Amino acid sequence: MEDGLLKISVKNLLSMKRPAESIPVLYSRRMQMPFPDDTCVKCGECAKECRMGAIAVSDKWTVDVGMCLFCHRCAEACINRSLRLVDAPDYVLRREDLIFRYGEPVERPCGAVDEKKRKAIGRSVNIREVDTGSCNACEVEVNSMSNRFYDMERFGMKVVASPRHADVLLVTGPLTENMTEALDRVVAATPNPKVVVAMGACAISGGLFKDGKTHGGIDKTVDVNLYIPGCPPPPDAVIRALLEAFGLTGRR
Amino acid sequence: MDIDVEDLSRVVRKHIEGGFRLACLYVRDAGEDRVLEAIMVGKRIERVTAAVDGDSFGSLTPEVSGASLYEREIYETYGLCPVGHPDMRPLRSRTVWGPESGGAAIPHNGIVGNGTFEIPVGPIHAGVIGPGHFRFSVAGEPILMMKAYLGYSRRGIESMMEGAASKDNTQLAERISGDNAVAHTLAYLQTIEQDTKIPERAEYIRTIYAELERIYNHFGTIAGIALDTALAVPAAYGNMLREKMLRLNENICGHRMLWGALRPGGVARDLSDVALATIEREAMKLKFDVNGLVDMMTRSPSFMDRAETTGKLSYEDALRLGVVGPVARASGIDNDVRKAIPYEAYGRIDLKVSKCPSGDVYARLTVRKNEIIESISIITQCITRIKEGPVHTKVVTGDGFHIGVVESPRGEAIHCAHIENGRITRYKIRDPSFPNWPALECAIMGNIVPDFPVVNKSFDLSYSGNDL
Repeated sequence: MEDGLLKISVKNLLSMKRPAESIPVLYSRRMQMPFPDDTCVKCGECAKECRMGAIAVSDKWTVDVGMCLFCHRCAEACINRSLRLVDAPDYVLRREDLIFRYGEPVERPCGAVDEKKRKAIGRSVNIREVDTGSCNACEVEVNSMSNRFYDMERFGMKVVASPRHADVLLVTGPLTENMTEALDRVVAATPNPKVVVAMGACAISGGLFKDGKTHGGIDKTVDVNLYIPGCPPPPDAVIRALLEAFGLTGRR
Repeated sequence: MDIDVEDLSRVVRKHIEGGFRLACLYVRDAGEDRVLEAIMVGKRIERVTAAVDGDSFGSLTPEVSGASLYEREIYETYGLCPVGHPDMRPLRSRTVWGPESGGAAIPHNGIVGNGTFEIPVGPIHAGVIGPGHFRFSVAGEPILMMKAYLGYSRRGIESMMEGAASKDNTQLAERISGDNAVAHTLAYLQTIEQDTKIPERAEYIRTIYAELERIYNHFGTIAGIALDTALAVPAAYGNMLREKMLRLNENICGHRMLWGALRPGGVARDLSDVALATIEREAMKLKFDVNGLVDMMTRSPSFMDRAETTGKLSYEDALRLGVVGPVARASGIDNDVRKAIPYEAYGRIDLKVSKCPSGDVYARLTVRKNEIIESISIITQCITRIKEGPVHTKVVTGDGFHIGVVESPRGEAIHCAHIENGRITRYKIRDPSFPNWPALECAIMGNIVPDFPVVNKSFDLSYSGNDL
């Protein structure tokens, strides 16, 4: 039997395939993180080039994808081209899962949020986006999630106007000092069971602004259930992450 | 020009009479002293400096309204008091709820009287936008007064830009206001590349990137205006066109918002002939789409009823407040940095500045539509004239004062860098949203509350760029 339209769209999203693309892809660095192969000599050039300090080479080569800006300058700086670009995970449930070490296999960690929360939220995911001082780009991408190309409403996800109507808080930005109390109040105003999502490098680790007038990531003051890396994460990656984390792909 | 601080007001006023505009006013530390720097932009850039003695100086605001926000900023960050300033509320340090949590409380300074009340909005809004707090004083439906309390996105970018001049800060400049990344990066690069000759091919590619950015921003604004006037089909159409542009960006340079496309001394990657042909083809397709989109909106009487005479910003007010960008052009001010002070390849191509006298939502929509068409023409001109050649060169940064002025999709973005012994000692950023926020407060007066989203969207202001 042929698949239904919804099933096809879920499949396309999960396989990172975009249907009906008219513009040829000439160069892409979408959600590809650096990872060394066997020829790495641990010279440290990549760590020096990384403005974020996401790469450490002290005893073992590690990369923290929660800090990665996906600029690929490390791969350009690599002296014997041993940095390969591999697919980064769409989401993780624990912060430490975003740190990848040389020698350990790179897996896209799967898993869903807490069963109790998933049951309560069901198939209708109501999202409230909270900007804690991001640079606009994450907002551009969240807005794009509801356009005709991605149309997240077909998966039961929609952006609601108030935290009191929300199941999911999609938090962007490095949490500036001026927004600290506002975020606390928004989290308190959201009914339980709620899922707090840190979207983008800023919300996860403070991004480039971790040394500024910020707290360097929202998990300094609130409990985060889901981390979505990227700077900014593209809309299909966010939709994919939410679909998988709420277990909406398998059922039906 | 170095002058006495008492003469500052007179000199600035004389410049304004001569067709200049106060584009930036800030303080920098020079050894023991503090120096006021006033940047005036007109047909050229004028810089006026005045050393300040003690902790105060005479305020310019009573005579030059546009200086108000800059002086509040100076008072807040440097503690220099502008004597005679009528409004000394803090600009960026705040909480909504009171001083016990560290920031300054927002006063209830609405209009008091029978039947008037106050509507607080934000800092978390119903839409997917940045954080900001608005206070509306209303009597029934009409807004008597609106005050914007911003500063929630304050990250301290200016001080993060300081340090060694040879350090590559493009990644930080891209994140000043994420959707104006190319413009801000170009302004930053102008400050450090002033003594460097950029290869011609790189200049053309940079111009193409800047115009691609303008197109997707304007589509977003037009779609937002359609959405806020409840026109679902044009809104979906506009967002679709924007998404097409974002995908074009991604497929030619690797990032949807063109981040990482520019580097000091040129561009990160050369554009192949296939890429140029793709850009040209997609741009030509857009030309039909943009006319169709705007026609779809303006043919609807209900839309024209909402758009015409709504959120009117008069020519005089726009001039007084020093408004920039499409908002200024929609109020009849002929002001475009691309034409007045050409940078990159703009000096070599034809460019029409689109203007509209009426100053309402419809005028701002028309200006944006014309700018998209003009951008398409600029892109095709660039692609016709571009020649083979290198796209990268080595950057030498000399000491002294360097300024970068760039027309971003929202208006003129200014970066000023003071470099001493190879180190940036003071870096000042002025996003186009900074002078435009007071214009929104001015334009919304007398309109009804449900029209605020439309007017706000037609101004298309950035929260993160304003707060820095």
